[in-house]
Order: sequence, then structure tokens, then C-alpha cells
Amino acid sequence: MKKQEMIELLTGVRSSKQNYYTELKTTVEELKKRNSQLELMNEVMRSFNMNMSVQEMLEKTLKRLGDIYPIKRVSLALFDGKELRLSYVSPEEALYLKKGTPFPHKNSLYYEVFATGQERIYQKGDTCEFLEKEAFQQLSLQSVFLFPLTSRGKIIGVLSLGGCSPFSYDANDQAFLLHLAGQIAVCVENARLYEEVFAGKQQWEETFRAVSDAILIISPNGTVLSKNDAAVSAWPLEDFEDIRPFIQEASRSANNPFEETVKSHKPHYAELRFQNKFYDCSCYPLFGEEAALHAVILYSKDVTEKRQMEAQLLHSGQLAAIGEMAAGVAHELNNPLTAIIGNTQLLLRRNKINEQIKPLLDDIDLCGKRCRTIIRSLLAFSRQEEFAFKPCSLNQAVTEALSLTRRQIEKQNIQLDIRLADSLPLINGNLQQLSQIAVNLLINAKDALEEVTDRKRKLIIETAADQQSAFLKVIDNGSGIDAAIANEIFHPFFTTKAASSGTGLGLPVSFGIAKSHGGRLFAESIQPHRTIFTLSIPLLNERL
Amino acid sequence: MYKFVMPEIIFGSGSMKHTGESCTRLGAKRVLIVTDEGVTQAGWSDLVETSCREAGLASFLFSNVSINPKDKEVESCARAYLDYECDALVGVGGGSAIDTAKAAAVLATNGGHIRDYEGVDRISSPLPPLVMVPTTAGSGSEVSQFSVILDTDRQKKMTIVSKSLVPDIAVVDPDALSTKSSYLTASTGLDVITHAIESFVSVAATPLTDVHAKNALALSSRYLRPSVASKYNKEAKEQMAMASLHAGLAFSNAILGAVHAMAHAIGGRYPFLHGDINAVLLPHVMEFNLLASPDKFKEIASLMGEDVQSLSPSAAGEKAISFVKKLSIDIGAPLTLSEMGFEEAFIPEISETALADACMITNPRDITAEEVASLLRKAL
Ligand SMILES: Nc1ncnc2c1ncn2[C@@H]1O[C@H](COP(=O)(O)OP(=O)(O)O)[C@@H](O)[C@H]1O
Ligand SMILES: [Fe+2]
Ligand SMILES: [Mg+2]
Repeated sequence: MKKQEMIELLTGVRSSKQNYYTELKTTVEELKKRNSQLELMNEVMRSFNMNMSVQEMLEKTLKRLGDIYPIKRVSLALFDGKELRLSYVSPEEALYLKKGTPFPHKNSLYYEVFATGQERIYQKGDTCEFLEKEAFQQLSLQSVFLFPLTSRGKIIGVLSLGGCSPFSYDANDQAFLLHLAGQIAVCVENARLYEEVFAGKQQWEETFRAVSDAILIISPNGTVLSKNDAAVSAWPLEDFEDIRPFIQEASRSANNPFEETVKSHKPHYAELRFQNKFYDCSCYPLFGEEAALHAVILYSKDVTEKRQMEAQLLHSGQLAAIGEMAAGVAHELNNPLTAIIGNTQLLLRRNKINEQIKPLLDDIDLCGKRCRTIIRSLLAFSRQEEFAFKPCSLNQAVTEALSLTRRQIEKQNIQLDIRLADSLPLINGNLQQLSQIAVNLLINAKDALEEVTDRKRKLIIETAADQQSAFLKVIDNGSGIDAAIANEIFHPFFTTKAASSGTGLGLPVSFGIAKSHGGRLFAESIQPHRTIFTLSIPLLNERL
Repeated sequence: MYKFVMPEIIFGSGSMKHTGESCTRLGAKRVLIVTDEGVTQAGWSDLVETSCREAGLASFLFSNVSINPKDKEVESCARAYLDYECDALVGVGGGSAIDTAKAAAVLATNGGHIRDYEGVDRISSPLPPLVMVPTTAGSGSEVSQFSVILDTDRQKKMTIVSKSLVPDIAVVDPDALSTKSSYLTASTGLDVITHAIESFVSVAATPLTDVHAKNALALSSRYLRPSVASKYNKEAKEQMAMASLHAGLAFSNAILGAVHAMAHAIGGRYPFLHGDINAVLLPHVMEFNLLASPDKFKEIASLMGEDVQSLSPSAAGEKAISFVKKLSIDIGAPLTLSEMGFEEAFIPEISETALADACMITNPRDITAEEVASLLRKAL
């Protein structure tokens, strides 16, 4: 053989002078490839400047990789502290195992790479037996490169690059792919850290928002840096509006906790009153760099209801004492008063009555009757527990009260608006007493409207219910209740009216009745010209 | 089916001045001129450098080449090429300088050791542009796909054969021959005749190579004597230059035979002139090969100017052999190996090496180691 072959080689038709064009072409191709590799690296690096998601980064990587190598699928398995799990796959449909599937510690190529830190190359026809083989076959991957992902000296997962055709690679390719795996590891780690920080921030923000008390972070110059939802309704501020005047107004009666904190760099507490509401307000200093005061945290809790309850409790105590005393006094006064009124009337019925004396007798009679009314009220007040309770409706109470007062109200030119709820749930109570409350509230509203001339006089009476209680509201646009006396109106004998018309007993009696029904009665006066009295009585099935 | 390869050739008196321009045409900017001391002293490398300068090229000189170029020289030449950041090579000189330039070109773009490329077709990357300026009429390397380099470790001449070794441009200027000694003219002239005869009878000869072999033979038979006789015989020099060129084209494509196989083997051992060894061996090998192609030998005799019309092919062949012998005597070439200093003891080793030489493959008559040895003994 040899001789002929050698001759052919020597004079060779089969060989040619090597050509620079061909050489150039391969060089250019090599350069293009390097270029694409660089671009790919760049892409991966860029992804963590832009906080691109890992999935997005993988997709971009795959697209670029596909230009250089016959790679069709990229996947990432990450170690979650316990297991190595399939975490990301691109394209997303190239799945065999479900995302999140943990790789077993035995017979798994992925786990082997993770555990040993050695890259592994699978080519079709690989005789080794391992778990992922079936997946590779199902996905028709002919060759798969597995690289460990190392971040700060720790293996955090495995990168897998799969191709549908067998692909040859040299030391350069391998070095590049290793480098790529390194970059991806950095990127994944980065994304994880970012997510952690982000989740932390979000959790904090949600907590901040979920607190139902107002929290504001205010810079020392009064600009609100951030606030939670509760703060939005409590402090009606425009964006960037200076909050200091509001705090100043709210702390009229106390010291200004915000200014104190700004001055002393120490927490301060005060009770604030703002728009008829009470707030327990604490200010805490927030320090920035070099212990400079960066901002003040203002925490304010709406304690209006608590204060009202406290006031009511206080009144109840006073009432009980006064009630006992009043009952005794009333009892004692009842007999002499009966004599006074009886005798006065006897005198008045005589025909020959001195014209000069008659007005005096009339006055005695009127005052006597008035005293009797007060005494009856007092007795009624002290005998409350003796009234019988039956299922009844607040609507009925209103109707009865209206039948007594309607004429007086309309005579005063008041626009009466009656809004009774349909099918109002029943309550357990004494109808007579409840309608007495309604009468008291209606008369008070009518009185409050007496002086009003500059606007249409309006009175609304409405009933409503929620899951727990039935409500009766009497609303008027009359004089309103001055904040200074808001605490006083439920005290017995407190009145702002002329001695002839006011007794100061309407509200305390009503309050007592409400209490004996397990309910509440309170007033809100919203300036200007809107006073609301609300009676709430627990529903029948709600009462113990 | 056959193939014929050759470079661009510029031939003629004064053509050497076009070397620089030739390099420019190949896109060169910085050329390495590879030459030897003798050529430099004769002023030829200066001439080439000037032409390069005039063509706007940067040029660098590497003149550390000896007769029978060695692997070490090739390596330092390649290093010089890379260090100077050259982009073309110019060989100026005899076979040694040109073979060194070619081998250095291989290392420059293919890397590794020159030993890696010994044999046929081992070069994978293209070589830088090569422009060759022969100053002897002999080796034919300026047009051939051969480079013969001495492996100093193994004391062996390595024959490297590749189409990539065919230079891009050969600048053949007969004027260069005017500085050659008569001794060197004789030695290289006999190399030309050996190239012509061996390629003509080669088993790989083709009509294309035959044309060149015949021309080479006819010209050298006629002009070698006058060329040896006088440095100033311009016509003889020009014709010998042409003869050498033809012979180079012929053997580059038809390859050689036993003379060269043995000459390479001896050359690895002794620093003899390549042409001298050929001169001694040629008649003995012709006698041995006569049997293989008597008709071709008859043609050889006729090309030498012998009247052989009435003779049988083998008788005519004998005439050719005696022509060669007489020519050697006339021009004062050595007639035996012994007189050159060859020692008989090396015959077995040399025979083995010769048998493995690439040139042996195309020898027209099959040959054994014993036959090689007996030929060497005859030549003693
Ligand atoms: N709707 C109302 N608008 C304004 N002030 C009211 C209203 N209802 C009650 N008040 C205030 O509460 C005080 C106490 O009321 P009350 O106990 O009924 O006694 P009286 O009506 O006899 O004054 C009133 O004098 C009045 O100042
Ligand atoms: Fe030769
Ligand atoms: Mg009243």
C-alpha cells in the first residue's frame, strides 16, 4: 500500500497550500464568538445593575448563548439551605421535573455537581445511570453541561446548559462557560439579597400601614416624610404642608410634644385635642448620621371614645349618688308640695278672690306644679329598675315621642326629617322610658334651634342598626355645644337655659335610662351647626 | 491525475531590485530578511534591504545561517520574526538561507518545534508571505515545496514537504551568481543536474514536470562547464540560473530519488556540501536505476548532447552515466566519499536513514537497505 499513498501525498492532489482567506475567516469567526461571549457577560453583569429578575436574566443569557453554542435550554438549581431544588428554567416550558423539585442525594447528576463542585458533562450515550437521564431524553437534550455556582467560596447551586445536538468544545469554551457560571452565581446571589431586602422593607411598610393609630415621620422643619393610612384621616394635610401649626393648635392646653422633642432630642408625650377628638400623642426622636436629629416620629392614638366612656362612668357614679339623695329629698318634699298645690288650688277656686292676690296665687300654683314635675322626674329616675322590660322597637319609641312633640316642633318652623329604618331589629326595653329619651332629645334639639335665624332650621331623627345595636340619632343644625361645656351636659341640673324652661335633668335622666338598658348615649358637636345625639341599645339577642 | 504547483517567478538580470516591491504587493509592511554571512559580504542582502527601504518597508536582518541549516537557527529566526513583529519573510542566499526562511515561517504561524512538521503535509496554518531570492543556482528551494533542516539532536536532516512551503514569489537574478566561487558553482551545478535526472526518472514524473526536467538537463549539461570556468560569463550564468529554476519546478512536483535520499542521510552526519555528495553518488545510482527506465536514460543521454540514436536504451544510459562522471572530473568535483572524509563504519546507519527519506519513495527502482549500503560502498 504505502508507497503509492506516499507518492500521492508528495505530489498530492489532495493537499493545497494553506490559504490566508480561510485562516482569516476562522479568525473572524473566532473573534465574533469572543465578541458574543463578551456581550453575553456584559448582559449578565448588566442584569444586576438593573435588578432584572433571575428568570429574565436567564432568558437573555439563553438567547445570546444560542448564538454561540447549540444550547437550547438553561436551568438553575439552587440550594435553599436544606435541599437542592430546580428553581429556574428557560424556556419556561422546557420542564420535565416540576419547579421546586428537590434533587435526591443519590443517583443525581445535579446533586453530584453540587456536592463535589466539579463540572460535569453529559453527552448522549453516556452509560452512567442517573436520575436526570430520563428528563434529558424526554427533553431530547443530546448534551448537557453542569457547572457548580459558587458565590463567596460557597456552592449555592448548579447551572445546566442543554443542547439538542452534540456539541464539541475546547478549553477556551470551557473556561468561558465556567466564567459565565461564576457571573450567574453572583447575579443569583444578588437577586436573592435584593429580594430579602425588598421583602424586609415591604414587611416593615405593611406593618407601618397596618397600625390603626397614626404614625408620622416628620422632619424637624415640619415636613411629613412619611405617614401611614391612619395618619391620613387623623391629620388632614396637603402634601409637603407644614404640620407644625396643626400640632400647635392641637396642643393648646398642653405642651407641644413635637417642639419639645426637637429641642431636647428626647421622647415627649402629651394629650392633644384636635377637631373634637382626643389623641394620646408621643413623639420620639429619630437620629441620623453623627447623632444629628434626622426626624421625629409622631405616634397619635385616638382616645376620644375612651375619654367619653371615662366621662360617662364618672357621670354614672355622680348620678347614683345624686339619684339616691334626690329620691330622698323628693320623697320628703312630695307631701308638703301636695299641700301647697292643693291649698293654692282651693284658694283659687273661691269666687271672691282678691284681684291683687290672684296673680300671686297663680304663680304659686305654677311653681308648685313645676316642682312636682321635677320631683316626679327625680322619682322616676330613682325608680328606673322597677320598669318592666319587653321586646320593643326604637321606631315605636320615636313614633310615640313624635306624637307628643311634633306640634311644638312644627310650630317653631323646623324642617323635621324622620328617617326610620325598615325592619329595625327588636331590643329588650321599656317603651315608655325609651320614648322619654326620644322626647328629651327632640325637645333639646328644638330648644337649640330657637335662636337660629340665619339658616333653615333642620332636625333629623333617624334609627338604624348594625350587628350588635340599634341606634337612635337626633341631629340638629342649631347652636351646637361649646367644647368647654361638653363634659358637663350630662350632669344633673346643668342647663344653659332660663330657669323657667330648663331643669338640667333631661340628659342625665336619659343617660340613666340608656345605661339601665345596657346602652349608651353620647353627643358629638361638629362645628359648625351640627349636633348629633346618639342612643345605642344592644339588640335583643345581643343582651346577656 | 496530478497537480503542479509553483510560485510567481520574476526572472532576469537586475530583478533583485524588485524584491521590496514584490513584498509590498503581498501586503507586507515589515519584512525579515534571512541570509548568511557570505551573501551579506557579497553585498546581496544590502541590495535587497535597499529595495525594501525604497518600497517603504521596514526591514530587519537575520544572517545567522550556516550551510546545512539547523533547527536552532530556524528557531532563533522565527523568534526574530515575531520579536520584530514582521509580516513577511525574504530569503536571500543559497538553499540554506531559503530553507531557513521557509522553516521559520512555519514556526511563526504554526508554533511548536520544527521537528513537528517533518514529513509530508503536516502544516495546518498558512505561512506569512514568502519572497525568495536565490544567489546560487542549485537548491531550487525558491520554487519548491521542500525545506531541509538539520535536527541537531538526532543528527538527521529532516525533509519537510508541504504545498504551504511553496514561496509566493521567486526573484531569480542571474547577476547574483557572479560572486560565487568556481568550487561552489561546480557543487551547486551538479545538484541541478541531479535534480533534473532524479525528477525525470521519478515514478511521480508528469508531462508538466518532464518539460522542466528536460530543459534543466539540456541547459545545465551545456552551461555548467563555462559557468564554472568564469565568474564573468554572463550568458552561462543566466542559463545556469534558468536551469536551476527548471530543475526546481521539476523536482518540487515530481520529487527526487535515491541520490537525494542518501545525500540527506549523509548530510545529517557530515557538514559536506550537498552538491558534492550528489556528484559522487549520482553515477552509481544512475547505474542502479538504469534497469528501471532505460528509455528515459536514453533520453537523458540525448539531452546531454550525446549521439545515442543508434544505441540501445541501456547503452545510451551508460553514455549518460559516463557523461556525468566526466563532467565531475572536468569541473573538479569530488569523485569518492572517502576523499571527502566519509567513514565506512557509518554505512549501515546511513543506509537505514536514507531508506526512510521521503525522496526514496519516488526512486524508479525498488531498493533495499543492503542495496543502499552497497551503493555507498561503491561510492567510497
Ligand atoms: N341639641 C342640642 N343642641 C345644643 N345644646 C344642647 C342640645 N341638647 C342639650 N343641649 C345642652 O345640654 C344642656 C342640658 O340639657 P338637658 O339635660 O336636657 O337640660 P335642659 O334641656 O333642661 O337644659 C342644655 O341646657 C343645653 O345647653
Ligand atoms: Fe538537491
Ligand atoms: Mg332638656
